[in-house]
Amino acid sequence: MKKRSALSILSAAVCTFVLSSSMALAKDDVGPLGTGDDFDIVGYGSQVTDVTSKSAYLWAFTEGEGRDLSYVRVYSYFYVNGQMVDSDYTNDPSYADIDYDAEATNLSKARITSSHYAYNQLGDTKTKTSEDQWPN
Amino acid sequence: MKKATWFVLGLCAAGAVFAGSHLQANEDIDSFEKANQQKTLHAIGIDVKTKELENLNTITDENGDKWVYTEFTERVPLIQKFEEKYPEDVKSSFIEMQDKIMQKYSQVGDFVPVILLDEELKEGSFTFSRDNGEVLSFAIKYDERAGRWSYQKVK
Repeated sequence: MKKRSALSILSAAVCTFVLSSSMALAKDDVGPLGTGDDFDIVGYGSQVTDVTSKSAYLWAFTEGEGRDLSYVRVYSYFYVNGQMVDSDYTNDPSYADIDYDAEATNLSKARITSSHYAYNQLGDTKTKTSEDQWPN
Repeated sequence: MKKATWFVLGLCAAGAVFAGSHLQANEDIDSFEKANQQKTLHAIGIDVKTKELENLNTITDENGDKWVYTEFTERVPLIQKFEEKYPEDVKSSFIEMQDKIMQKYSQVGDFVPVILLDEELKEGSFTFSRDNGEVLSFAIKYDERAGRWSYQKVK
């Protein structure tokens, strides 16, 4: 009999804990229905750095913020001495970055241009572009 | 003259030679890029002098139509014009269209694309050439009904 009472008490305690936890979680989720507008690009850029006569480091990033942010993306196009040497893109929930180590027998010019995107859950988009070159 | 003075003079001379050769190399690349832009434009019926190839300059084709010239690697000022003139979605669609073209058609070795737009920034072309002389050109247009930019390969 004692055993059964102990089990009942334990079961009731577990039920109470599970119920209160669920209510707490549900309470956190409750809020005004979002319009999907709370997302934006808060940081972005393209850079050419660490240049020598034979190499350069090209990189870009997109940083997004907001309750409705789904993910961010950056597309970059890399040019050395007037010709494309690479293009690539990457996604991330909030900070996407991409880079390229450029090498040339005689590096006279390096350029990067990038497209920056932030997406919400509805597929709406915010965009920016950036670019950099060496020499300026 | 003291040895130290000769050393400093030698260092200065070497520096000047390096700076001079670097400057020469940069000028060569600039000329190379401009020449490639000229070839790209020639392929779509536009002959221009290199001095006309300034970003956001208006150039005229063989039919007398005027186009705003932009190098793909210097497109930020053009995008700013979009921001001043149109809502976010028009600008976003314009950028997205460029990425679609580049992701689908560009290759290592391609020269910098040329963007030409009419003065209303509603239609034009996106063109680039390759090492082997091949030119890829796309007619680009803002579709008012669909509310987005679209492209069509013409060359």
